[in-house]
Amino acid sequence: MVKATAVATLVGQTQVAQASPQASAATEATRSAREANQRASEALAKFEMPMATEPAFLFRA
Amino acid sequence: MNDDIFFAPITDLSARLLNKEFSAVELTRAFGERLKTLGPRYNALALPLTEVAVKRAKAVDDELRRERLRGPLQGIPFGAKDLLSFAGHRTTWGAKPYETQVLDETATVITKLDALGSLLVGKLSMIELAGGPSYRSAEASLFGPCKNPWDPARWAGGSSSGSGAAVAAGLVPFALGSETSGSILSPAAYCGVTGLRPTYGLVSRHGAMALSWTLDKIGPICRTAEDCGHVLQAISGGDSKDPGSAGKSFYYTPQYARKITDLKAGVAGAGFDWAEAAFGVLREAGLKTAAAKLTDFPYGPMISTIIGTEAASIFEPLITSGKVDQLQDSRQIARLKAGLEIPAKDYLKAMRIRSLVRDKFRELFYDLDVLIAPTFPSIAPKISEPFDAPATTAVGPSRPPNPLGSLIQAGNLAGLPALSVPCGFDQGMPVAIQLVGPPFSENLLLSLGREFQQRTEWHKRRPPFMAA
Repeated sequence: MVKATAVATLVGQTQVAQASPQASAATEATRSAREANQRASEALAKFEMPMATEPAFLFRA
Repeated sequence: MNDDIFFAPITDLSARLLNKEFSAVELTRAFGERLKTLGPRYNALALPLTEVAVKRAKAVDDELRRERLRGPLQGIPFGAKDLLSFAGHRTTWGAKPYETQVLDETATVITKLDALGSLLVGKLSMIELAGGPSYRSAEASLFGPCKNPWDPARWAGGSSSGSGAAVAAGLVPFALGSETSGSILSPAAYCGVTGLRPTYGLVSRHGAMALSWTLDKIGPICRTAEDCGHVLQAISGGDSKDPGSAGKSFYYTPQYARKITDLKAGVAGAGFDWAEAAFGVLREAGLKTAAAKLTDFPYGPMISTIIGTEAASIFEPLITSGKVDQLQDSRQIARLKAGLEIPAKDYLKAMRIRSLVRDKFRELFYDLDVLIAPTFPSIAPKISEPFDAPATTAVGPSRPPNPLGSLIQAGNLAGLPALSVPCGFDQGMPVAIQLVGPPFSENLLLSLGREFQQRTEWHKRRPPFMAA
């Protein structure tokens, strides 16, 4: 029983160890995507333009 | 059939069909079989449709026998990027979550080509979801990395990867691709073929996967500028089913082209000898040139914000269902998810600056007829290299800043047409220049491209074949 529990623990640890590089890669990709959004946001915020400038789309009734 | 057939321009194939050197059925079967055999070697084929096309070609042969002539595309086979729907057949958008998708309607562009007797012999591979907001490598496709016929260790470009590779390898006489920001020009340039990005709204996108409503365009990849003109005439025109449609048609009229000696181009070669040599060819033909520079705008942040926001909205069900995780590319997955978090103020700011970009181009085109620059400053990257690795620079390490360096992003933001024509080789790989003009100036770009191709042979080169 003890042996079986130890094996199960070992298997569990292996699974965690196998899953974590993928999980950390996904976390890294998410962090990087958010940083890219943030950089774009800052670059756009810096750009000054006349208040009357309308967006480049038009609603047609 | 002689191998020359597979590398002949549409105009030549059409003349030979009318001359009864071969029938539409024979031509369709020859291209269809070749696409089915060689397409998978390049990972260029998404779905073979030879039998469907041959059946249709029989009707085209009947029409040709009765002299019911429908123009230069009658009896000519073609391929379509797998983002275009063909009713009753799989349309995967290059992505695992849509692997078994079958749509009810056929894309307007395919219907238009069919009406003129052109024959769809296969769907062609693409980067998943046409690249989404961003992707990290050539592997980002359901079909595997699309190999460049000039060197299978290198990428064919994207996202219309299969369209570029298939034309370059002589698997189809022409193909349809789409561009949101560079997806026609990149495979055309990397594969040494001619690609045309039409003005936004000139070609209906009905039946095409949407990535960004305000940026998506559909256009041809062919051997020559002249072929692009014929295909564009066939697929353009207003369509009430596409809210972005400009309601305009296009007639390819090379006979009314303005004289090259009356034209003035803004150029920037960015220090590339091959680009300067290409400008030289056009100057010899009488084109006047002047140095040109784009106005400074945050083109990169604008385009990433617009595509990121619109793509996240379009694919919100995919993202929230968790199926987005089935995509191949981790960067695309993360960028799609993060796209849902882009604030409205950023999207609107990008779209407001976009109005100014359009206005500045209008001013630039008061004085200039066309802008010409290298399509890409690098040759096709190796498939094994992620795109964030340092670029494979075409010539030499140090280079002056390129005043037209953001022309692909800027041109797409302003909805401008562009033509990419091959203009040489570097390290054995094709390089190209792009010609960009005001909205609806396709005839001008095509006449310049045709003039260039009458004076050069780059577009006639054939890639070495991959070992069996």
